[in-house]
Amino acid sequence: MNGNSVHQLLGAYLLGGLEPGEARTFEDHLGSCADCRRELEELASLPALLDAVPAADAVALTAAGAAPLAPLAMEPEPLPEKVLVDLAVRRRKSRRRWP
Amino acid sequence: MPLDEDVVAAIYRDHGTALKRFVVSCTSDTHQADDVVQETILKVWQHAPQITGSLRSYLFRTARNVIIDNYRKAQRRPHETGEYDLPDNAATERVDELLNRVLMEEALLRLSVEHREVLVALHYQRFTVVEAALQLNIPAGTVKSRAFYAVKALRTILDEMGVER
Repeated sequence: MNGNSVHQLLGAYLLGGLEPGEARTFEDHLGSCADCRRELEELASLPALLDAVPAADAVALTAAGAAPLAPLAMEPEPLPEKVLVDLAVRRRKSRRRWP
Repeated sequence: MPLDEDVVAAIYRDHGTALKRFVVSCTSDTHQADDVVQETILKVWQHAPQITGSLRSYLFRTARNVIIDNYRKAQRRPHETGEYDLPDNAATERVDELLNRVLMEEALLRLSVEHREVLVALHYQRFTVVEAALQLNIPAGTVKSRAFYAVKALRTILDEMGVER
């Protein structure tokens, strides 16, 4: 394993994918690499943030056809008539505040 | 300088559907959801010049605040029952949970397919590197390096979206 790839274990380590032996190798490396320690600290909150998405939903996002920003591909929401009226009212109000 | 109508119409076109989906998941009332979406988009339009970063996540956050304001207003009305019978804190927590979820889904969708696949295999499917390599039909070394770049890319995306560490 070259010098670069031991740093790169950080991602799989953070996500819990390393076998115990390799996890220990990375932990030993952490002891001597301040860059990796800092980086791990910066990324440490990611697993908890990821847990906000249920696993089944996350898996579905990788299914074929789940293009990046798939929600955008859906039927666009039409602009309700009422919005334009409201918009005009708000614009008049903000003009009054800023003559 | 674009007309205000065009700006608002563009926000509806680009974000209306995603926003409405989030609002419906919070309020489970389609009619009220339309009002929340409208209020959110107009609020964001008013503050548009100060917005930096992701407009989508700013819209989600604003919708969250509109929904919670609505809960509070409803609770202050003494004789109204039914529609908003959740206690304030539980309702707020639920909306925040849904907000975090929708923001994270958004972030995952912004990753490249390769990064997303590896991240899902390791984190959500609890695969080891070797198992993920078999599943995705790529070398184990590739799983490791993609996992490395995936977590860094995700952090950058979340920073852009204003999701706190």
